[in-house]
Parts: sequence; C-alpha cells; structure tokens
Amino acid sequence: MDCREIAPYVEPYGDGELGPAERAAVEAHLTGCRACQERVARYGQFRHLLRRQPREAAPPELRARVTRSIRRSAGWHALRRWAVAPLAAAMLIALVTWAGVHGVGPWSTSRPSSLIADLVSKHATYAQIEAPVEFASANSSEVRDWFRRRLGVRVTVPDYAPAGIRLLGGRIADTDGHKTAYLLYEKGHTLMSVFMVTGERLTPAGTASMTYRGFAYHTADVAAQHGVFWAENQKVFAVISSLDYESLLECADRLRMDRGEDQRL
Amino acid sequence: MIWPSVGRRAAEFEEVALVHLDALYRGALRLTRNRAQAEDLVQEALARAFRGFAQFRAGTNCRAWLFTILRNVFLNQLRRERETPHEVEFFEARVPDDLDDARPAAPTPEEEFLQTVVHGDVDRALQSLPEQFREAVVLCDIEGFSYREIAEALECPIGTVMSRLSRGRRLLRHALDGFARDRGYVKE
Repeated sequence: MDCREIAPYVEPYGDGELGPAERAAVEAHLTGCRACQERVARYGQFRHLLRRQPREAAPPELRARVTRSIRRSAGWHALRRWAVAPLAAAMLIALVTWAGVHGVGPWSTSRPSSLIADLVSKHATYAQIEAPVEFASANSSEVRDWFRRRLGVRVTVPDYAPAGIRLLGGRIADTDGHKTAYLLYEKGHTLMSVFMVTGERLTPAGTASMTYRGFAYHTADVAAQHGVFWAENQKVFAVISSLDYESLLECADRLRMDRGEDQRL
Repeated sequence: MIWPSVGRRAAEFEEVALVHLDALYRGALRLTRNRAQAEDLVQEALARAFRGFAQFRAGTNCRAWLFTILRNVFLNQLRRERETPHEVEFFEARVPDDLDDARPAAPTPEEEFLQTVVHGDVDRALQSLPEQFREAVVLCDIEGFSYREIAEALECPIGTVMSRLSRGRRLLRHALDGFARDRGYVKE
C-alpha cells in the first residue's frame, strides 16, 4: 500500500472498523511513513475532541414518565387499592377450566357462553387499567347525559348510593361488534361492573337460573366473581362483582325498575 | 400465564431498552431542536418499540433498532405536519462538490486548531451540517456507534455510512475552522 491507497482506510482504521488483514496492511505502511502517521494522529485528535463533548442526560422526569407508561401499557402498573391481582389470577384459572370438559359454577353443567366470558373478562380488565372509565362522575344524570351525547341513546344509570355503592363513571366498549355501555361502581374496595350490550342475545349455557322479585335471571360464578345476566328488548344486561348475589340481584332489580321509569318518561 | 408474562416483557424491555434513554434523548434533541418535542418524541418512540418488542429478536442490536424507530417516528410526524414528503429535503440536502476547494489553502496545524475550539463550537458546527452527514457523525463520533449499528439505525448500506462519515467530518472540520477564522484566531 502506498500513501494514496491508504487514504480511504485512515478513518476506518482510527474507528477500529478494519478487519485483521486490512489493519495489518495499514500498520505495515504506517511504520515507514511519517506523513501518514501524522494523518492518523490528526484524525485521532479530532475524534477525541468530538468524543469529549458533554453528553446531556435525559431529564429524570422523562425517565419516570417513560417507565410509567411502559408499565401501564403492559398492565403492570402499581396495584390499585382494591388489589386486582388475585382477581386476574383467578380469571385465568377459570378460563383454563372453561376450556376443559367440566363446568365451573356450582350449578353450571356446561361452558358459559362467550358473551358471558367476555363480559367477566372486561370486568377484570377494566379493574386493571389506570383509567377504567372514559367519563368519571359520581352523578348519575351527568353520566347518563354523557352516554346520550356519545351514543345518541338513553342509558339508564341507576343510583345505588343509598346502598353504599358509589358510581365511578362510564365508558363505551365493544362486545363482539356490539356497542356496550359500561358503568363502574365501587362499594368500599370492591368494584362492580354493569354492562348493557345492544343487539346481542343471551345464551344461557353454563348459567343457573334464579328468580328474584318475580323476574328470572341467569347467574354464573366465574373466577370468584358473581355475575347476574338477563336479556330485555334485544339487549343483554350484566351485573358483575365479587359482592354477594343478593346485592347484585338487588342492583339488577333496581336497574330494571329505573329502565321502566326511563321508558315511561 | 398472561399477566405475569406481560410484566416480564416490561421488565425485560426496561432492562435492554431504557439503558439507551440518554442517547435517544440526545438524538431526539438533535432532530427536533426543542426539549419538549424531544421528550414527546422519545416517549412515542419507546411506546412503539415496546409494542413491537415481541418481534425484536434477542441478539440483534437494540440501540440501532431504537434509533431506527425514533427516526421513523420523527419523519412521520414531520410528514404529517407539513403534509408533504419532507424526507428528501431533510435528509438529502446537497453539499457543494467543491468543498475541497473551499478548504483553507494551508490547513490549521492540529494543536493550534484544537486550542481554538471553544465550548459550544462543536454543537454549533454540527447544527450547520446537512442532516444526513450530521447524524452519521453524531452516531459515530459522539455516541460511539459502530458502522454496522449506524447502517442499521439509518437503514442504509455500510458503504454509505462510510462516505457520509468522511464527508461529514470534513464539513465539520471546515465549519470549526470557519469559527476560528471569524474570531481571528487563525489567519486567512
């Protein structure tokens, strides 16, 4: 190699990017050429100047924000105060059981319908996420107005406050392509979800029947959660929580009464 | 189990990707030249990277992969903002071919030259470089990327990296010489 041939190799040599053979050829030339030695040294000094430039670190708030957002999107955020982790684990056990031959509930004889599975899964999922409601309000009429604006239909939003069950808000969900109004309530540290699925039919497989105040409901126990389901006017309703059945049936009954009132208005 | 595996994925992502947060932030700062926008850009790029983390193969270069995403998010934002393809203008800026003629007849002796470089000069000189050269020089000489990593990050062949680097360094040196001459440290 002469000085002209070595020129394209000077920078890759200084960057440590040459293979052993090329490196050896460059070094062989350098031992006998003072001009090229100076060239390599000059390049090295210039590179050193660039390398010692202050390198700004990311602001600590950015690091915290990014970490939080990743954990949140992984559903890995800090556990909420109603401790949903056991619920999620129980959900999985139940889903695995459904895949088997045997039913899960104390009364069930077959696998619950996919609609019921979907709603219970939504109940568990919404409990996990940071902001489970799109519109947060404890005021029933505000939430009802929000649904009317968003969906263009009247959604009955029962007020369970006298029973100590507080409204947290609402969101619009999708259940197998069907618009679903979702209401979230809280009693103490226990969540309760109320779903209204439009244009869906209830398949009662895997559920038990229970009559409460003269109306027949379907019930299913899934993953330590109780579910009360019924269908009315081409809509499916569900009340899901780990609260006792009596409370859920009372809530279901109240919702049906309020709907009757709303429809008369 | 679904939930714990998602948690593991987040933990793994934090371990392999977030170690590059500082470099990504600096990269974003150079692209946006605005701190708030740089933070948003990094956050969006990392969110996308996390969503695609399942496709990321262990053993491939994480840092280069993250820079590719950062750069693509930035370019997409730029296109949306301007509603016109901007990449050509942004990355393919023409550099005068007669650069060699524009260099001072007698290059400043290196030690003398290094004495003239004051705080902020390198940054200012880098800003004056066309983006395609600046990003190659920054990734190699400031961030310490290998040629292969730069090629992956910029999605171009290694030969292109080498020519951009060489030309970028010459432009940078030329700009720094210009600052020194402006201050009268170096004779014309």
